[in-house]
Amino acid sequence: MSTREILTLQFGHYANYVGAHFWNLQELSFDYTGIVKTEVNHDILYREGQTANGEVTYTPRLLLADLKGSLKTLPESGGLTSAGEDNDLTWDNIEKIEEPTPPKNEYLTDIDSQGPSVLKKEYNFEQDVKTWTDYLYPRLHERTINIVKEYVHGDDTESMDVYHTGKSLWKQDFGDAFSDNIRRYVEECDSMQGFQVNFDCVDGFSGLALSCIEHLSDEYTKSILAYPIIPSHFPDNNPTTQEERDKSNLKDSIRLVNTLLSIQELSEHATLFVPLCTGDKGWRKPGNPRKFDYINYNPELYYHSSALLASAMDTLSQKYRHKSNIFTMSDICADLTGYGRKMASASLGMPLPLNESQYLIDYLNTTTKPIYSSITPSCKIATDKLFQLITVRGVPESYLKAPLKEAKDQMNIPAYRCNNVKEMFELYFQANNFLSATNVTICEKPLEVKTPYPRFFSNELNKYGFVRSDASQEKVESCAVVAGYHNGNFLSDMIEKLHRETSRIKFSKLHKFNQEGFESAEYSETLDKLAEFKDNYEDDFEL
Amino acid sequence: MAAISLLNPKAELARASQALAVNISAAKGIQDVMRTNLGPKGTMKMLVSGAGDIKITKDGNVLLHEMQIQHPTASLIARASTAQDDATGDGTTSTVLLIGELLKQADIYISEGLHPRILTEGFDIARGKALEILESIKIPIEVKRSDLLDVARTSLKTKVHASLAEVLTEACVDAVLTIRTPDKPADLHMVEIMEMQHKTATETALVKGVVMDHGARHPDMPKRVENAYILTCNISLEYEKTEVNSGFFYKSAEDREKLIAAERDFIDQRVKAIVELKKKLCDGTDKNFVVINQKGIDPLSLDAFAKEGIIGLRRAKRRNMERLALACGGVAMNSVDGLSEECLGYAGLVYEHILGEEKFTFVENCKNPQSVTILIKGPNKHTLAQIKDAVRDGLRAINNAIEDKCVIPGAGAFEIKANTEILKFKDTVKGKARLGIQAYAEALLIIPKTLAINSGYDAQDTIVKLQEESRLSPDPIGLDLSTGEAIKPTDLGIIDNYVVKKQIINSCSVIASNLLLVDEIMRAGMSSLKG
Ligand SMILES: Nc1ncnc2c1ncn2[C@@H]1O[C@H](COP(=O)(O)OP(=O)(O)OP(=O)(O)O)[C@@H](O)[C@H]1O
Ligand SMILES: [Mg+2]
Repeated sequence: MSTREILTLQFGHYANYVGAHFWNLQELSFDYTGIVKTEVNHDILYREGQTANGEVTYTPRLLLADLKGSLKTLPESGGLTSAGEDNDLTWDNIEKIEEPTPPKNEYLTDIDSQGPSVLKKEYNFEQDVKTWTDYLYPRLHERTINIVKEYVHGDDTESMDVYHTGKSLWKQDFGDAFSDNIRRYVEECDSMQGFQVNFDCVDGFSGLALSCIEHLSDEYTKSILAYPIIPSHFPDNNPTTQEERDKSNLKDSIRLVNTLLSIQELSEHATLFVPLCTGDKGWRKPGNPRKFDYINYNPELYYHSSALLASAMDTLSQKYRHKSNIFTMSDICADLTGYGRKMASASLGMPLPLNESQYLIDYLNTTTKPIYSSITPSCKIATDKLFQLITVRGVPESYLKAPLKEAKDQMNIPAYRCNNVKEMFELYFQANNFLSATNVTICEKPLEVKTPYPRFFSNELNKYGFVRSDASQEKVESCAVVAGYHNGNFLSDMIEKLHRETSRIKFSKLHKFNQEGFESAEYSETLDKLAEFKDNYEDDFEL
Repeated sequence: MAAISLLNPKAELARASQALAVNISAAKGIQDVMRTNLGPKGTMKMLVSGAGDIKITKDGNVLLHEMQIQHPTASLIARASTAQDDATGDGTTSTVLLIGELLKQADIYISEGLHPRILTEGFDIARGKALEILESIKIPIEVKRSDLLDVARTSLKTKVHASLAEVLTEACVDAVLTIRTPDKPADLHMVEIMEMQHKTATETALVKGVVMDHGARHPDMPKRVENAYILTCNISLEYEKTEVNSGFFYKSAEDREKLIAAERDFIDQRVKAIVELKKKLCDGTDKNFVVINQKGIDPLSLDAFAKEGIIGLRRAKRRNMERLALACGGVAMNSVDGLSEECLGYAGLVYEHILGEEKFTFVENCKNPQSVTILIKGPNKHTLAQIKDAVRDGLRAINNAIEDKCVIPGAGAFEIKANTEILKFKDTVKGKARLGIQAYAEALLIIPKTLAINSGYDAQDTIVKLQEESRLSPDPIGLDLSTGEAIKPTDLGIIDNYVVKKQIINSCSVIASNLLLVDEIMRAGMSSLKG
């Protein structure tokens, strides 16, 4: 069967940070030699095309939205075609008004001049990255970047910070142009599987994304997988004066209401949605950073935290991007969303910390901690009554178990009868998750963490991301990762938390919403609908 | 996009202790940026962003959108002029200039101690008079090609080079005349503006039909057919996998095959119904068949069409469904039930044009096209955008004229005439309000003055010349930008929209008055604080 294409949509600044890492992961894993056995069909996310000059291009099938001023050095045209000033419309007096060209950082300068060969070099991304284009490796199709001209990135006086501002933007020229771009991508596809929509659910982009999702569900009969995302940190998170505290408080409330509206509306228009945040709470503040053993990341750096989410997305999507074409997004959605439970949670275990001289069987047998952490805000993933889809990548079959002659004690472990990594993980989840259904997907290839992926790994890891037994020093080049989608009764708890927190907000004090014509009555209606949605997770079900 | 840092609000605030001073300097600032734009000899602005994005424009409204306007007063003025554009599509530069000038004139009197409220009263009286004068110089028109050409040309020549303006003028007028039904303004949505990026060509053409930005997705489909039935529809011809391949519950391969076959059959039936109709109507004749679908058409369905020589287009724009029905006749079908010859439209010619990765499909030679396409070609995005903006303005100028049933002479004629008449009228008014009337009359001259300056003539000399000539002539007198002499604008075909001028007169005095009275309110507030 032909390629089942996916169109990816990104709305908002943090979503674009995640996206930049995600597309870097794709493009840096391309094999131009034809030697490496690839499992992923890149045509699902990418499209082949041609520039006006006839050069062949291969670009992400992607549309993204961000504010004016957020792109810095990347031209709106995506960087593949130069704008070219030549203009044969002669006009007597032309006044040229040029903005100063922002300097390119070392990394961007290097890829401009040398192409991908510079990837071994060390860069100071932690300092250099001021926006997501600062570490973006791919170049984008002309129609990919859609800039909201009405608001300026980083402008605090007039910001696009409420849901309804985004909604009204969609009704103007922006929505017209954006939906036409969607149509043009879809027209090119022979056998599309669906849309993936990643968006910031805390500011005005939430409304923009939801308008778009509603449009998608009206216009196309395709699956819509949405990731509402809460950034790991906000600049106002550490107030020092009372005034700053009040401001931050107000902003927290606005962000929370946007999140509420997003989730409630997603429950109506998305096929499946999975909220993401590297902070454990998400609201009213992102909260403590989720812990990943052997990774030291700074949640205040979007460049860091967004790499974790991108790694999860890349791993989770392996299942429906496989060359065999067996599974599609609609299968995933159908598996997870029984009983109207359109919201699921996600987890990430990175790296999967096997010791380099340890067998998988021993690791799974002895580890006392869960092998993954939740990356869904205010959500503790339960251990029983689950539906879950787990993807494990980069655990070589040779790590499975000791050969018979050397097996010794291993033979006493029931898992020893497992013949491959898949069976062993299946057994592991069977043993650990009571009354649950688990589907495991195994990918041979690990996650490759090439520059500009953050170097936030502990130096106890070896080149392959496994825990070293000696003290030699190696740079991590790849690592084994586990990621999962999980659904079950436990999510009612998260919805309950959201409901409780949003019910406490004195809505009438949030003038910005009132100004946009969103009133108390509608707000309480939204809360009621959320409570109804929660009911889908309440009934006990038996397998 | 390129930011023109207008004013730093904080610095301005520090310097000017009074709100009025702030307002006036803001108005001057924005006026300074825009004044060089006015008229066909104004400067074109090329805005280059830090990353190299280019925007070329001479249009006040486009420029206002691209600028980062931080100052609240400036943004109020900007909003007024954007509103002007939304309402009429033109006159934004004039609006900004006039508001600025009204404030400048007011400043002179206020610094002499006159109360702003008295000035605004004068403004309002003068506004009424200006509207009367506007009525008196109206030139009634018929909806005739020749009458409309002048107004379109005048507008377009202020946006693109004269030679291109000439081509666009004809295209715009013919577009509107083609789709229009008598006694009604045209629905400009039925004029599609289609852009084609092409390295070498800059040309524009009116296509009496529909041009779509996509083409057939099958290599064996004909690239060009004549005498074609057009089926527009919104019917899925794409196999959607409703059967789910669960990770938990496996189905046997056999079961799955069966389900797929059943689903597939559903789609095949639809394709067959269309093919049947084609066979019935076209086989054995020289007629052809084209399917334009708003939904998807998958490769197998495309195959079936291609075998029959049918051109099939998928994912057509929703609005094009309506346009196609208007251009070709026929009705958009939502199902294959009741499919018959009556549902179909007709086009004399359908062909595909490929440019790089872009495909275009032309549906032309329609019998009674009520929807047309203006096709613009240009070497790059920013040129296309510039032409597109100009075409939009041209179309609206034509439609305004049709709606108004009249036009007015341009080239500053109204302003010269109004200045003279309002000054005369002022002498009949008693009290201090006269000063406001005087200020208003003076402010109007900013338009002919700026037109003169932008063409390299001395502002004062020009005004004197025009005023003298105006006194002698019964007809309105304007400025010939190529000679600097007085002329009758109608002789040169320099024609403006009536409604645009009317809106300028109304909104400028209101906004200027608000800005002046804001100051009054502020002062009241401050003195009460002090006391
Ligand atoms: N050939 C001409 N000779 C003299 N004056 C002209 C000529 N063509 C247009 N004008 C005058 O130029 C003015 C319009 O200029 P322009 O279109 O640049 O600005 P605008 O309409 O105020 O704003 P916008 O930028 O929205 O179009 C009108 O006063 C019109 O009468
Ligand atoms: Mg104009």
